[in-house]
Order: sequence, then C-alpha cells, then structure tokens
Amino acid sequence: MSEPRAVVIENDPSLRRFLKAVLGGAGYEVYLAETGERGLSEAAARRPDVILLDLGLPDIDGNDVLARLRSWTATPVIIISARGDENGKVRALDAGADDYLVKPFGSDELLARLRVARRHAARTSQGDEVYDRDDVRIDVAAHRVTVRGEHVHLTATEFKLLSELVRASGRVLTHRQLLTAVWGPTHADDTHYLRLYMAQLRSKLEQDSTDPQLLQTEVGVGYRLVAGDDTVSP
Amino acid sequence: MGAVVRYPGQSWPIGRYVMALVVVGLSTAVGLPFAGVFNAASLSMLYLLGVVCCGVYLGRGPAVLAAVTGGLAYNFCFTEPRWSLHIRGASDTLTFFALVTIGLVVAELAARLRAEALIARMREVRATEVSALSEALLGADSETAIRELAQQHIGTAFSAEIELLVGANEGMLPDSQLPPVERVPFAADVVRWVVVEGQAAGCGTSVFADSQLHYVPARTPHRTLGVLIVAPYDAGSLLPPEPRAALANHARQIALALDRVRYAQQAQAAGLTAQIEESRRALLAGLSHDLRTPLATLVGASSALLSRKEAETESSKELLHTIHDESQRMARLTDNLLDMARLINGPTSVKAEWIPIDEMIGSARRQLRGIARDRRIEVDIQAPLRAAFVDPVLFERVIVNLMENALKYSPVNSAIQVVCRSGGHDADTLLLGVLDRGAGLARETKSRIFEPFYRGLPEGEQSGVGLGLALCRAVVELHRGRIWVEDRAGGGSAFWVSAPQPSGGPPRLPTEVEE
Repeated sequence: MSEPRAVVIENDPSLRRFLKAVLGGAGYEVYLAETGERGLSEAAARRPDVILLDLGLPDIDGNDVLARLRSWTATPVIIISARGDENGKVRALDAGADDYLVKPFGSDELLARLRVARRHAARTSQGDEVYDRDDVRIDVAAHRVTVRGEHVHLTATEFKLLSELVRASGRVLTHRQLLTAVWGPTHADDTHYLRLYMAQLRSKLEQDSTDPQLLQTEVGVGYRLVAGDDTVSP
Repeated sequence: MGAVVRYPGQSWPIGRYVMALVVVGLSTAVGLPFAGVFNAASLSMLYLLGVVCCGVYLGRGPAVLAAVTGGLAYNFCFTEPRWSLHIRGASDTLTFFALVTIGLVVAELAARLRAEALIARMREVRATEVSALSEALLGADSETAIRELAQQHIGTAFSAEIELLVGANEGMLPDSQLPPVERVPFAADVVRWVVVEGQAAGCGTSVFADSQLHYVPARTPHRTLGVLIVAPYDAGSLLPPEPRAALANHARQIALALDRVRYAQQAQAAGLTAQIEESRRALLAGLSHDLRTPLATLVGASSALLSRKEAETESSKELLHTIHDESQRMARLTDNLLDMARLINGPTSVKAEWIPIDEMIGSARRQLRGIARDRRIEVDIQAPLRAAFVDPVLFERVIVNLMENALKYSPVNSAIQVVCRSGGHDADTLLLGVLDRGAGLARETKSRIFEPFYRGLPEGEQSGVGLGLALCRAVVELHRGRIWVEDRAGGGSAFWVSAPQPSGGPPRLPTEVEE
C-alpha cells in the first residue's frame, strides 16, 4: 500500500514545518499550502487521504474552505483552531469536518486524530461493531454492555446515545449531532438533557466519573468516546 | 463698564463740608448786589437753593451745615440791621427761623433723595453685573476663569476687592492650599469656620463681626466648594441685608459653576481612563496571540521528540518532558491572559446551563494532565448534588486555575481535594472547594491574592504572572458568586467558590426502564 497522502492548509510557517516533520515521520506524503485557495487546488490535484485545515487563514474563512471541499469530496478534514474559538469549531464540525485540534496540541494527539479519521473513512459498511477498551465491552448488535464482565443495565435512551458514540468511536460528536441523532432535530438545542444523560453513562461505565477514561468531554463542543483497543494505540 | 460709582469728595470727607460753606458763600455773593432791589425774604430763596444743592450732591451733614450757616449769613447780610446778627422786624425774624427750619427739612429730604438715587444707581450696576456674571460663568471652563470673573464682576458691583478660595474635592481647604495673602487680607480661621458651618461671616454678620471683610460660602446643597471673600472699600456698605443677600446669590452661582467645571474635568479624566483601559486590553489580546504561535510549535515538537528515538536515554526523556510540561504551562498562562483580556473587554454574558459537576472536574483534570501526573486528587461531590447552573466554559477555567494552584503550591506527595456541596437557606447555593496541604497564606496575602498580577511568593519561585485567581474572581463575580480562601486545620489552604443557583435543581430526566 502506498504512503497515505496529507494536504496541510496552514498559514503559520513554523507550524507548517512542524506538521510536515511529524506527518512525514509517521509515513505520510505531505503537501503544504499557505492559503485557502492554494489548499483547495492542492486538495483537488493530490486527492489526499486526509486534509488538515487551519480555521484562521488570512485569505478565506476556514469554514468557507470546508464548505467548498465538502461540495465535492468526503475526504476526512481535521480542523486546527485557536483556543477560545468554540463557535468556530462547532460550526466547522456541524458543517462536515471530522475532528478538530486546538493549538497547542501534541504530535500524538495529531496522529491519533488522523488515524481515527482515516479509519472511519475506510470503513465500507456501517456494520455494528464491538467496542472494547480497558474493561469495557460494548456489543451494539447484541445490545449488551459489560464492565469487567458484569452486565450493565442501560435505558433505551442511554443505549442509543452510547451506540452513536461507538459508531463514531475516536471521533468527536458535537452536542447538536448527538441530540439530533438520539432525540431528533427538534431537540437540537436541549444541551442540558444530553449532559445529564452523559453523566448517567459515566456513572455506569467509568471507574471514576470525575476522571473519565472512555467518555471524554470536549468543553464547549461535544463528547468523544476514546478509540477502542482494536485501533493502533497512540 | 468698569467705573465704580463714587461721588464728588468721597475720598475727602472734610471736603464736603468745605464745599457746603463755599455754596453758602456763593449764595451770599450772588445775593449781595441785589440787596436793594429785592426784599430780604426773596433773597432767602438763594440759600434754600444752596441747601438743596448741598443735600443732593454733598449729603446730609453738609446740607445741615449749609442750612445753619446759610441762615446765619442771611441774618448777617440781609436782615435789618445789616452786618449784625440782630433782627429788628417781626417778618424778618419769621423769615430767618423759617429759612433755617425749611433748610433743615430740605436738607433731610434732599439727602434722602440722594441716597435713593445712589441706591438705585447701585442696584442698576449690580443687576448689570449679575447678568454679566451669570452669562460669563456659563462659559467658564476652569477654576481660574471663575475666580477672575468673580473678581471682575462682583468687585465692580460691590466696590470691593474680591478673593475666591476654591477647595479640593471635598470642599475643605487645608492650610497648605490657601493662596498667599495678597490683595485681600483674609484670615484662615474664619475661612475654616465658614467652610465647616456653611454660613457667611465677617462684617455685617454676627460672627467675626469686627472683621473688615465679608466671607460667603459658595455651596451647592451637597457641599461647600469654596469661599468668596469680599473686601469693600466702604466697610459700611455691607451692613444692610440687601447687598449681603445679593452676595449670597453670587456665591451660589459660583458654586454651580465650580460644580459644573469639576464634573467636566471628571468626565475628561474618565475618558482618559477609558482610553488607557482600551490600550491595555488591546495589548493583552495581542500579546497572548503572539505568544501562542511559538508555543504551539514548542509543545508539538517536544511531544514528537518524546515519541521518537531521541527519547531513548532517561536524561533525554527527562529533558523533553520538561520542555513539554513547561510549554503547556506557558500555554495555560497565555490562556489566562487571553481570557482576562476578553473579560475586561466586558460585558461578557454568562451563558449558564445545567452542567454535571463530575463533567467539569473531569475536563479540568484532563487539562492538567501533565502537572497532575503522579499526584493524588480526591473528589468529593456531596449527594444529591449532581449538576451546577453555571457557564461551562468559564467555570471550567475557575476549576482548572484553582486545581493548578493547589498542585503547584503543595508538596508532591500531598493530596489535593476537590469538594462540592450545596449551601444556603434552601440549598440554593453551590459551594465548590479546592483544598491543599501547602504552606498556607499570610493574612495580608489572603486579602490581596485575588488582585490581578499579585503574587504571594517572591518572583522566580514559581512561574506565573498572578492572573489565575484574578480570572477566577472575575468569572465568579459574573455568576454573582463569591470566592475566598481560608486556612485549613492541620496546614494548607482552602479556596472556596460560592454561586447562587436557581431553586428547584436541574431538570428531571424522564424515568425509563433499564434493560
């Protein structure tokens, strides 16, 4: 299998250098672009397996680049954002970005995100899968959740919520995406419901709900179920 | 319009009496040639004319003198026998006495007429000056301008030298601020009395009545802004109540003008303060943005090296960990800077929602991964408290900052505790505590530690610029809550946050069957 290709759309030169070094070291063929326009043409020309897009580009708004990409490709896009730009991140994720990174981020986080995004893109079927991580096993098809071998009793809503997270395991899901998937589009803004149900899931599945290992909170954005053990560990 | 109303001979009182004698002499001189033509009684009219003139132009005293000496002159020069003070005829005697009596009456009337005319004149001058002063005060833009206007207009209207003493902000005049005594010899203790009592003093009043000067306080209903000191050329001119009432009016006008000038100055100062704040904000925001970019590369590159061959030896691993941890710490620092800049930018709205407490603590712990490595963190959330009604993004910063401080300033082998309880009358207050077993804080530090840029430790012992707690306080106050620190029994500090919560608690979830 040839090397996976990545297009990096980033205006800051030292960050570009770092990304090229890390991705190159991890076996990617890296193509750099300094501006949104150049990034779009690189993406069209190189047909990458993954795209890294900084939201703070000087020439075009990052969300516009994303919209234009999504109009013709489903290639996974990971956005790079600054802290404090919660609205920008959520907008991008709701508009089709697959995941996000906040500056400053570590190289392990970066590579993990890319791996997860590519894995989801490569999956041919939406088949029900089995999720394994630490002592937790979630079998969506069999409708069965166990922690350390013990059966855990979930309500229908709790299970629905959990299965959405499993389906996207390793990737972030925004509040809106989760609410729409579990409760329907009319409840897209009832964030408090979502939070309270996530608290219940945490108390049932986590050893210490104040130090969750599986069900991670992405503040101001949504939630993420940490990638299962079958993924190459970060 | 600057002429002070004077009358002839005002500066030479004796001169008026001399003039009266001159007038009598004139009447005599005019009458003598006609002594044989007209009878004596007719010629007495000349003296009456003289008395009237003296009364109108010279005043009561000289007019009386003119009446008496005129009568005597008439007796001496015109009545038979001439050139003696004897009077032979009965009608001449009558004329003589009538002349003197009428002369005295006329003297009195003429003098009163003159006084009235003078008062009317004075009133006219004062009225003109009052309106001129009012108008001029409208345009005055400084205390100096007001003082000069007072000196010019009030001085003219009242024939006096004027001094206006303007107080500091509270209206009290400390002795060091009194101008040197120059034209107007005022007394400092009278000034002080006037400021304290808020009443006039000096000549014409019952207080310090023997002073040559008149002191009037310039006050608004709230406070005394200054003292108007009047040194009349004629001390007696302020004895009647009318000019003193007029002065009190002027003093009020001046007080209003001073008030206006003061508020204008405060507004200007506020405008300047706002400009400085704006610059500071822009600087903070710019700084933190500029710091963040190199940080991103530092954190990223160091973590990359850690996962590679370069990290094989223990010492390289240690070094790389250090670079990585310190860059993350700097990143948190610039986060605080940026948040602080945005909060100062205010008004920041609090987007509060019901958020489970374990979720906030969990994400805070994740953010402190590096510094919390190998540290014991005990969390105690008192049931049935599950959720807090706060802004999740803002409040999480508070928890991160408090926990980071606790970890930084306590020994590595000690545990920190995060406690959550409900308090208040109806359990409608959230209480969050972060407790450590560090060295504790000095009493002076405890009260100041929430100030921006204040640090309890001397420079260099721990990294940081002292913004973390200031940020916490800003966020807590946005939630209408409180933040404070207490000593713990057994050593260490306990930082507490309270935030009012809506009664009723978080919304209930619909009950479902578990499978």
